[in-house]
Amino acid sequence: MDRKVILCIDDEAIILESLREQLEKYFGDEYLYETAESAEEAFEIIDDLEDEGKDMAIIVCDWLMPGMKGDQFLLRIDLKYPRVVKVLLTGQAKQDSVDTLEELADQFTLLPKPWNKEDLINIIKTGLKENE
Amino acid sequence: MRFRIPSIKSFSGNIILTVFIALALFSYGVFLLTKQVKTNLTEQYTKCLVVKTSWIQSTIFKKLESAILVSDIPGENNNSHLSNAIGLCHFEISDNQIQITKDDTHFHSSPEKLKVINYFLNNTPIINNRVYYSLKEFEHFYYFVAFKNSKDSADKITGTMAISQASVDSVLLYLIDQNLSIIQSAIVIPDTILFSSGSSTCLENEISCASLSNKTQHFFNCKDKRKLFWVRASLANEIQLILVFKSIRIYSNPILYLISSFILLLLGIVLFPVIERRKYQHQIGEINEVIEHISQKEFNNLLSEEYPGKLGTLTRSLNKMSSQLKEMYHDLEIRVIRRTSEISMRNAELRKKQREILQQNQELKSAYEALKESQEKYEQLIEHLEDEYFFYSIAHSGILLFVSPSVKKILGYEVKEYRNIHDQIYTDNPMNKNALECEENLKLGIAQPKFFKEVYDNKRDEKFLEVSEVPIFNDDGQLVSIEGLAHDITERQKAEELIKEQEEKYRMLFTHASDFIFLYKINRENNKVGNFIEANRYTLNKLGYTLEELREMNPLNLLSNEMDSEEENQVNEMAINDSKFERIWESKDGQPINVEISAHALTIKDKEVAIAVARDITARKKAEEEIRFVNEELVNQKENLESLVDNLTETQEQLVQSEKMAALGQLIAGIAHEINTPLGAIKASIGNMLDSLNTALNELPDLFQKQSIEDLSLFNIIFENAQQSSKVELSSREKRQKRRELSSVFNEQQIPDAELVADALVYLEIYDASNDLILNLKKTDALKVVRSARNFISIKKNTNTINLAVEKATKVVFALKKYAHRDAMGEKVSTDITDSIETVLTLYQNQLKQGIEIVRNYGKLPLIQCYQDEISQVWTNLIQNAIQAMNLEGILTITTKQKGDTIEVSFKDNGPGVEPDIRDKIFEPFYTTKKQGEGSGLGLDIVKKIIEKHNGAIELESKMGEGANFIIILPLGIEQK
Repeated sequence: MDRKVILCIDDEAIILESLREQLEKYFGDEYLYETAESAEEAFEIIDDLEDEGKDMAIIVCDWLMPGMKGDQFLLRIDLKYPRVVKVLLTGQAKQDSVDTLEELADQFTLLPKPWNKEDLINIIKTGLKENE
Repeated sequence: MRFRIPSIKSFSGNIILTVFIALALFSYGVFLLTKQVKTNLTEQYTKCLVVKTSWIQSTIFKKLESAILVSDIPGENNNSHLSNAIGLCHFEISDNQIQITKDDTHFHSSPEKLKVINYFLNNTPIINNRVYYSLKEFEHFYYFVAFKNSKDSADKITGTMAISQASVDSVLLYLIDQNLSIIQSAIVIPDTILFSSGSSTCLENEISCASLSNKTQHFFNCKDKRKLFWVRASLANEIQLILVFKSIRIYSNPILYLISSFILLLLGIVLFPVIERRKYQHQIGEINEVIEHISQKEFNNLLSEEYPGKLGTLTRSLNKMSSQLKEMYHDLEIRVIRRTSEISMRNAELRKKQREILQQNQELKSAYEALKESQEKYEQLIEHLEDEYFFYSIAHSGILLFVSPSVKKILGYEVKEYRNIHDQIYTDNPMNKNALECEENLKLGIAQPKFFKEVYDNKRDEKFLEVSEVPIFNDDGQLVSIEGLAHDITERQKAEELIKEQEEKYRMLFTHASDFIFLYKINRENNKVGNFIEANRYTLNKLGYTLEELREMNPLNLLSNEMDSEEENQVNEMAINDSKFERIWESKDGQPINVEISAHALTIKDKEVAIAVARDITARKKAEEEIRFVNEELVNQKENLESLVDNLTETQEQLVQSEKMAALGQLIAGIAHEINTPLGAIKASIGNMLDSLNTALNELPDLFQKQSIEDLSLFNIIFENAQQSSKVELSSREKRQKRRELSSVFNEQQIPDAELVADALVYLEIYDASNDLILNLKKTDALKVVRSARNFISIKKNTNTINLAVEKATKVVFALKKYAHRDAMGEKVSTDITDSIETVLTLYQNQLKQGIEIVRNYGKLPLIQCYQDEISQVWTNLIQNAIQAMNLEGILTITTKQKGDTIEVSFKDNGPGVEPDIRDKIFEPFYTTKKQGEGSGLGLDIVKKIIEKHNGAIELESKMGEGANFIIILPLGIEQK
């Protein structure tokens, strides 16, 4: 299975579940889906995936999380996995952190909540296309 | 008159003799008494017999005459002791001289003692090797002497002598046997006994003088020939006691003498007069009779001539005398009568004369009194004049002929003195020039009027004299003298000068005063003010009028304003009476002058005038105006300030409100996010639901058609599980774990697409692979089935999500609503404190989520009356501050508890803490530790004010580096207690 993984990270369960379903409904079995409620959990999952030899394709992440904030997390990810499509999905984010991300990170997009399904899909698609 | 019985005095011869004898006897008796001769031998004797041999008691002993006894040496070898001891001494005699060799220092030595010792030494016989006692007299004292001497080879006699002063009661005792050998001897001094020891030879010389026998009394002579007697008494043991006494002679008994003297006295005083009296009684009786007759003036009852002897002669002569007397008496009577009538005539004449004289007396008296009165008057006048006037007469040559003595009173000079100096006592007063001129003229005979002189008196004081001098001419027309009368008018002069001085003063005052002073007429009848009479210079200057002009005006003309009649009356009233008032005058050139007038009415020489003093108060008025103006301005300023203060207060309130809004504003972003999040979830969920439904609808025919039993049973399991909706929501981690487990199980069971199936089952909330399940899964197209089921379940789940999201959003909105809700009425509401804190926390959820952990220690709190809105603001500010202090990362511990009748709410952060020196400052308005623009600084001030409004308190505990703990204490309110 060379299916790549879509990773959703949000501390709000209601967002996380509905987001994952949304993406799964669209992308179906094309991808594998993982969810995490915090950056720390996400790191664990990423480690597991590495162990299992699975790659990540897309990370959709919230900014306001307990512990490490979304922007920091995505920066980290970007360092290690520059090609992963990174979407910061958030109700608020500090402007300077966003700017930093935009500057430094590849494949990074900011999507405010509430979001349109179409917008999200498009961003992801665009991102994936870029990778090719 | 009677003859009295002769008194004692008449027998004076006999009586005196008797008394004398009596006294003599008496005194002798006393003398003997003092010699203490005692009586009653027998008594003594009997007492002495009581004495025993063993020791001797002293009773009353007689004084001893000397007796010599021979015995052994006393003193050293027995227990005798000498009281009253004079001395115990050793002596030696050589060349007939006795010398004391050793004087025992036991005894006190004194010159007297030595004298005594020497005497005895020299007067005591030397009897070798004998000791004897002696009772000797020396200088009126008796001494016991114990003496022993011995002769040695060299013819030197040495000896020992003990001398003791004998008291009057001491006695020698001897104990003798039948053979007159003395067994023992003793000298008895009261309380003391001197013993000799043992055997001795018999009494020599003296005792052998007498022959002892058994008689109880014996007399024997001693050396001095006075009688002693001794008594011998027999006692037991055949030892006989001899007591030697001094004898008593009966005629030495003092009592005898005393008694006899008394008797004699008695005889003399009583007996003799009585005897004598008897003798004369008869004779005296007769005399008394005679006297009685005479005393009754009964000359007719002539005395009897029977009286014998001298008495008869007496009576005869008395009789003769009485008849003679009778005759004489008659003669006298006649004469007296005659005389009396003469005298009475004379008396009448004399009385008449006396009356006349009395009358004359009266007249004289009244005349005298009148004279006296006028004399007094004259004297007074002269005195008075003398005090003031003296007159004199000066000759043509200038010599003073005469001057009245009153010159002394006035000028102090004696008459003589004045004569000499009368023209030399002028002072330097220029007036004297005129005086001298006048005098010159007078000398020429020209009469002069009165003139004045000033002279020195004797004390060199100036005296002012008014002099009136007149030239006197003789018949030929020549000037004889000048008669002068000088009147001392010094006092008057002085008074005049004083008045002048005062006048001058007032004039000065009037002229030079820098106030208006003026006089004006007043008319009391019609209450009107008259014209000016006088005005001082100041008035004239200030007003610009001349005095003549003023005299044509009255003070009312000066007033600057017109007055109606009533006012005029008033002013007139004031100006006429004593008053003080203010007016505005106009000077001649129209200048207004404010004046304060003080007027006073008086009468000068029957004319009614008023004097007024007015002060220019223009300046004062001006000053008053200015002050008034300044005052008004101040009042204005005060009003301005007050309104300013009001403004400020309003502004402050606005600031508070804006603070609140600012706080709120800060939250908005967070709140928006808090709402957006649910919205996002809702949106996604709805999308999901739609998709699921679509898919489910599409698959429905398929579903209806080919469903195997196994499929159905699988469905059953799934849907059964789905019904149990009360399952605990697992975390994504846990879900993943479960998925892995299921996946590995399914892989084992060789179920295709194990992971996907596991994934789907986890979605369907089936976490455990029961055998039943596994069986079913094996039998069916597991993935397809579970995925189909998923569509339906998806709807449920998404619906759930939407519900949750809505709930969340609602909560936030509600919180916001609650927060922004204004207590329009401003009333206290029953509030749940915990709830209000939670509300604020909800609003801050977003910020807190960024890294702040909330630890809640909520105690059970009752409802409390408070301004809900404002209390929320308190929590808001404190939570805000805590968040900012911790910089969005840390632990905020909120504790609530009920303490008695208060509620305690504390917010503890673990930020850097609050520095000690700003702990009070931070509650001050506009104090902030943030950079400019980042905070109004009102937060804690508002909190404090709100808490105070609730009668609560706020405390701050902080340890640097550990954080700050704000503690709010709110009282429950009376209803809650």
